[in-house]
Amino acid sequence: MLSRAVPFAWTLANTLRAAALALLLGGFGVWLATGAHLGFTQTSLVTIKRDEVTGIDYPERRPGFVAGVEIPLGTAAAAIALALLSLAADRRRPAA
Amino acid sequence: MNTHLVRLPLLLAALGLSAQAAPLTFDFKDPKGVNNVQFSLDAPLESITGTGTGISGSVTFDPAQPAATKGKITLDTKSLTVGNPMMADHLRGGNWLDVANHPAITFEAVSLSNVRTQGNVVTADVAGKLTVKGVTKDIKVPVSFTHLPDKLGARVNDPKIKGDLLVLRANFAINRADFGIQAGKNTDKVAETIQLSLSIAGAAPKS
Repeated sequence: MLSRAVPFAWTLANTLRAAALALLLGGFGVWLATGAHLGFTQTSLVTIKRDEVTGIDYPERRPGFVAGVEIPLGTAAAAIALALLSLAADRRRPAA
Repeated sequence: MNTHLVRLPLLLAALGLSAQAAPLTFDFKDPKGVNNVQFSLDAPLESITGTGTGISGSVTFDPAQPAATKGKITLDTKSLTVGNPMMADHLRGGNWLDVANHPAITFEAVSLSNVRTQGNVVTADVAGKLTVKGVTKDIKVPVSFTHLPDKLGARVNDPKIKGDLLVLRANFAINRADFGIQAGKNTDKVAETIQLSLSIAGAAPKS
């Protein structure tokens, strides 16, 4: 006997779950898209160049963004918090 | 009369030689923004690396007598930066370099030892006084001096400007605790040893 699929209800709990999923995917997505850097977030990037006359290697710093591990870890923590809140919201929902 | 005529060119040649051998004073103010110091500290997640470019100072160098080299190099601490903005704020803040109250790091060369010359490159151990965050310590640093005669015009893209360049390179390490920078603190977060790599060029214009 197949149970009938329950239609998706746009409840607070489901909203929180969707937000948790979006945060989780967004955090990991940004981290992966900017190079999966295993250090902290960088907001400027360095390119080493060489001065032809003196032979000096020098860093040229330019604005840029590389997400560090705190981005996926932070968004994962926030996603877990939202998921837990969604469970609490489920319990407070009056039974139909 | 004839004797004088013979002596005059010799005298002029001698004067020319002595003028050539005179010590040159190189100004390390850098119009191209190439002079730099790079620093690195070990940390659990990744090494903390950064750069400083606000370098000035002067060095008196005589290619014929490199052991007599003297000079002072200054680094503007506000120019020190790292890629992470929060770390950069901490670096410049009162607990670490306190750049508001200590705007400069200086190294003053006092004497050279173990001087070796190979072509236009002189290597030596330079003893001097390093001042960081108001604390001065005597240190010895291995330095290479590369003398580039008549290269100033090429560097500033103006062949009419005559002068020499002097390139200094040094790699050495200091202990932050020696300079009162979080001495004995946060050793689990960031190492006490700071690796430094200095690459700078100075110019001695000729009129």
